[in-house]
Amino acid sequence: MRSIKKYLVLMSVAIFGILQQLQAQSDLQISKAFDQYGERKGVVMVELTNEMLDGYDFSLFKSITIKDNPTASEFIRKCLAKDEIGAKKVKQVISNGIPTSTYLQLPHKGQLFRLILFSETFKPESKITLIYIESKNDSEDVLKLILKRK
Amino acid sequence: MSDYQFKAEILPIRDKLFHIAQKILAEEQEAEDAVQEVLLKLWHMRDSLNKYDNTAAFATTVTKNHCMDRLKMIRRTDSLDDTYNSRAGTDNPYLQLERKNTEEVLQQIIENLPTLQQAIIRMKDMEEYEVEEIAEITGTKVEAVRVNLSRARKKVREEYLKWTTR
Amino acid sequence: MKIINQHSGNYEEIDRLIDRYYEGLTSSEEEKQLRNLLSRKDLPESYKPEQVIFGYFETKKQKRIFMLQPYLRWGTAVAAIVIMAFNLQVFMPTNASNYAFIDGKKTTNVDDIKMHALASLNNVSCDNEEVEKSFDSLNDKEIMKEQLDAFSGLAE
Repeated sequence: MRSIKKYLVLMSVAIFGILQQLQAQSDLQISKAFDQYGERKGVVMVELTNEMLDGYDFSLFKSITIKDNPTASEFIRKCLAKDEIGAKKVKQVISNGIPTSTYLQLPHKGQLFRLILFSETFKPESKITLIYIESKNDSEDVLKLILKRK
Repeated sequence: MSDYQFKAEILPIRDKLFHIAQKILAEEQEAEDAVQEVLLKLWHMRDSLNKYDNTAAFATTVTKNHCMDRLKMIRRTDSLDDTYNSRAGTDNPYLQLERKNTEEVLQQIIENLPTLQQAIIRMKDMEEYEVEEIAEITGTKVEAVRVNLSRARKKVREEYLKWTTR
Repeated sequence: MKIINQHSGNYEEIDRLIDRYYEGLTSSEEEKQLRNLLSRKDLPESYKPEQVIFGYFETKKQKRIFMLQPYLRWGTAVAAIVIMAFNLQVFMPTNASNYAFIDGKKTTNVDDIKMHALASLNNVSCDNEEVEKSFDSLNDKEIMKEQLDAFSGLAE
């Protein structure tokens, strides 16, 4: 009887582990934005893995910049609204009633910090930028560095 | 209840259970066997022991009931020495065995063993516990378990040969 | 030690173990050994009782655990493999995943890619004044909304 119990415990731990893994992979709505718009005209999409960018160390860097596409803007905002839930809104800039910049700190994936950076401009041209970052460095440090760019 | 919990909660009250057994069964050896049987019974139901608020009280009840059953058995027998045949019933046990196949015969033989020997031989030969583990669970010395195991095994062989050489 | 079975020839090991068995001295390991020895087909008749008895106990053992054990063993094995596969995917450095799509055209030139990455960072960044306020929000752990007319456009 003892060995059967041991196996049952092992099994449930294993199944639980699998479920955890599945969750971590597919929990972001914004990934749809990358899938849908990444390879279109007027779009620049970037993915970097385990690379240094201007002195910052990223495990994963994904960005997409879309020009002149109000539908995409609407879509991305909807995705963001969902991913915002459970995340910490580090900063949001609102202009004329709508958010033009949003910085989100997502719940950790294991030891990795996760950030979403979003910004939309209307002058001189309509441009929407969405960035997803995974980093081993403290997210506060990463954010400081990014925010200090200008 | 885990193995560890059993050893920590049930074994310490063995003495108390022994005294209850002795009050009912009078004879020391009888009481000793009864307590070991009770502990093995409780061990095999340890998974469901947690639902009792007071496991000590439950163990006491089990002991009382078990000893009362034992008492009834003892009073029924004519010969106190020949426990085996008395348990098998008043009919000739070998006539009963005639129509059965080997597996059924052995099952019958084992079921006719004294309760404690039966429990021990099952734990060793079927459940593959070590003698040391059985001694720990029953709160006895390894030698005591060995003796019971030896008697049980020899009896099984003896009865089996009786059946085959009739 | 009482000797129950005595045979000539090369059955010494079996006889020894059988004696120990009836004295209750054998460990589970030794009993396994004995079972293997007894499963030989060419043994003399005199070993029949032990063969039968051991055979009986074997069937009792197998019946008890046969029901669940194979499935549980395979289940945990499969589960373990799946977890490992996931772990490899997640934690193994996939260095090959550096690319950029510009107007639908793919490039794997890391320098180009980095250039575009930095450009996108510039798009979302802000000036120093805002940086100070961001620190506050990080420290306060509050949700903060700011209305900044001066900030209605970015790239200046």
